[in-house]
Amino acid sequence: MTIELEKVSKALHGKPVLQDLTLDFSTDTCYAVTGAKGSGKTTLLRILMGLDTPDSGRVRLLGDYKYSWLTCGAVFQRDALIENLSGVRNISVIRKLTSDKAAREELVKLLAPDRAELPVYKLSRAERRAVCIVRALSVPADLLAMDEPFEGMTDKERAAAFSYIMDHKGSTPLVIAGRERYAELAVFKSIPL
Amino acid sequence: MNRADGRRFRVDRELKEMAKVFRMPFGTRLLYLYLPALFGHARGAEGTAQQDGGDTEPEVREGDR
Repeated sequence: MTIELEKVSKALHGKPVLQDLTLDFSTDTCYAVTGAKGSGKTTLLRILMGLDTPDSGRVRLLGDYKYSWLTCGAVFQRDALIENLSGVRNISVIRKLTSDKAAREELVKLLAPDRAELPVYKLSRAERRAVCIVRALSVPADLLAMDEPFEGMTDKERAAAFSYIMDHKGSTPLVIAGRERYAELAVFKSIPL
Repeated sequence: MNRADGRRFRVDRELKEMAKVFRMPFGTRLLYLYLPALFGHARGAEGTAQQDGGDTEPEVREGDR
């Protein structure tokens, strides 16, 4: 199964960000989207998530997808967490099938148990990203799109988060966007913007 | 409507986008996003930063269902 971007162009505030971009995202493959600030990484992910529509070109699903639209497990650039809910609750509310207990079991793999029940506004940047990563992987998805998922993390935290992602992603194509080219992403297919 | 009992309320754009991407059911959105926003309880980072001074938008629309 493949997600195909065909000659996608997008301008923001009159400035072209993506121009005639043609890409394929295939099952079982990981992609690292790298580029400077403003190079279009977030725009590309937003188009894949269905939050932005391209000015020209199209996104096509080739293969046996369950829906005619793309379902995404997403880590947003600015977290998009419900601030007064705990990390556990932020994960369990997005899917009826995920209980608090199941969410807690997953979250404590990346977060200290006593931190998992705190409102997320009390968490550090790295801890918030951990909640976002677990949330993204807790839903069934055709694509995992993660925008700067390791931001604010130490090397040790990043290694743990990366390991968690790889263990839980299954065959779903994974797209990680970021300014930094971390060592863990060396085996990923590179998409420079 | 973006007013109820004379109060202005809005849900953070980021939270609305999150709900859209994760396809949160309408009931869950109502419970965790719209009603807390109406009563000023739950906010995303955007709302925490700028409180209630921003624009108001229609929140509960048929298209959200």
